[in-house]
Amino acid sequence: MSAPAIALEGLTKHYASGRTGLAGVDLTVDAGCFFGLLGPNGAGKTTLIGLLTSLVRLEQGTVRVFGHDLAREPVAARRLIGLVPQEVNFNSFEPVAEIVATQAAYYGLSPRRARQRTDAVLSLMGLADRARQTAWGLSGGLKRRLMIARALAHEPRLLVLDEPTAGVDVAARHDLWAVLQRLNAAGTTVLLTTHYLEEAEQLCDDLAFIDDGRLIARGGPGALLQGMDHDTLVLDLAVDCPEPLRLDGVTVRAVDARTLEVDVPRGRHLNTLFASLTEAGVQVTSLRNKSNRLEQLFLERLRGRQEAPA
Amino acid sequence: MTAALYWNAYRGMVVKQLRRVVRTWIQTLLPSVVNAALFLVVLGQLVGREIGTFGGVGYTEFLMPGLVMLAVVTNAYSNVTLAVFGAKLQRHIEEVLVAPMPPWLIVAGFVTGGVLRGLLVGLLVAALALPLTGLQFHHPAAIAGMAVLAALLFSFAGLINGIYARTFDHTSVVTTFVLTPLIYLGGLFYPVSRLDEPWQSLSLANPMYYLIEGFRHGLLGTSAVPWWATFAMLGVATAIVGTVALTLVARGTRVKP
Repeated sequence: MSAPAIALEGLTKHYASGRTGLAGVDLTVDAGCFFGLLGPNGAGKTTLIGLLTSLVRLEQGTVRVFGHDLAREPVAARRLIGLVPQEVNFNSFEPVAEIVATQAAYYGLSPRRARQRTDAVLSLMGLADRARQTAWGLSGGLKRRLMIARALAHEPRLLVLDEPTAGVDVAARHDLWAVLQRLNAAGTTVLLTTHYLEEAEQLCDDLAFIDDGRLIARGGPGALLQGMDHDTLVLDLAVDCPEPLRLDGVTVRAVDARTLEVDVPRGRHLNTLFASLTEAGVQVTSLRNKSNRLEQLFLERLRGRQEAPA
Repeated sequence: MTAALYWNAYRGMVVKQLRRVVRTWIQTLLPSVVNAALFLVVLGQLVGREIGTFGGVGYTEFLMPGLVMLAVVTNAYSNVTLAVFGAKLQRHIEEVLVAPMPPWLIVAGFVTGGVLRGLLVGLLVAALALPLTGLQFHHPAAIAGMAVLAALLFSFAGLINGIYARTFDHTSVVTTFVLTPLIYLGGLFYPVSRLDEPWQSLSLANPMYYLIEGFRHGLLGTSAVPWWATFAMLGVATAIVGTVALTLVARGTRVKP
């Protein structure tokens, strides 16, 4: 059995400001997995990525990358990782190809191999025609693509992306998703943090929620969604809703005369809901989830933590 | 395998440094050459006629070693300071921090950039001065050794400055208010032996005095300080400052939270 792509044990980080970045995180990510790390701002996602990629000083705990201990075998561990950070972090005055080739050199590629890989990843990311252009002139979306190209230059087995689609337009986001899915299908393990929960639901086959430096939920999207106690549906009506509307076993809220929100307990069939609505004389013209289901679960877990006694 | 990885990474860092120097040559190469030319023409050729000779050499010849050393030291220092500070400012220091490069390799990459720029500008100044001075290289090995050691020492020092610098002001403070005055007061323009006390004793406490005199010895064959004293001072200082620089990089000071 191959070593997990990531194995974190007791990972703890306290910043000089007194803030706790991580509080004893244990996490294992299997090789080949598309893993999503979700959490609100300041939850510890970037700290976790920083510790994994050596951008943050490791104080307590262990980090293993494909079995290599980051503290004891930093060279072996780091050469397996490609990082796409949250903020643009290349020298904007350098040409695009130079940025990628230099990074390839830092990972030990010979000049010839670095050139080959630079051409390959710039083509992959649709930047081949920008190779000689100074990075300064690239749009925000193209800068994101350049950072992904740079991270791929040395063919990492683990690709770490910290909110890679933040500020990227919808079409470009879908293009990026396709690239990431192809890389993952080819065997690259992907660790992704994102604020777009539909992105996580679409891409990831394993997820963890992090809040306040601790993992608060873990599992595949399907398994996690099984843990939801209800779905909130929004119903658009053909005619005004009769007042007051009471349905057996579900909670109904009127948003306006022709829109209802209905909390449907998990396991209840929608057929019975529609039978009850028909019986009450309500004609439904369309139906949708109030929010992304993963987002709903995420908010439930956060609220649950905030309401739990200390 | 690891040796090849390290060599390619090191080469990558050095090429990046040199490209920056060449790309911005008006800022990196030209100023020291223009300054040296002005000193040589105005002080050496015009004022020097009135001054006569120092220690048996003309004033232009007397000035030249100090001007070369001034170019080497300030360029090596500011190159590394600005490279590190710029990398922190634009966050591309992270490119080397995440890469499989040990701290000594990161230090070596930055410092080599400084040493090469210092030596290159030093050579340009020397090339400019040669037609004006008719200088002879009395001890070529000593000249090369001192220039390399001086560039190394001040590249290490520049690295420390770059690590601690938080603003652009911090990158020029040491060069403007410490290095240049120390070199000017270390016997660049006059023989320290001609100063009255306590200025002469104070000058002997200035490390730049030994640097300039040692270099002067290599070029002119005459000096108030034995060459070994310059090498000893440079060797000890380089070892100390280099160790400090390496320790700071290994700890991730000011770059890793």
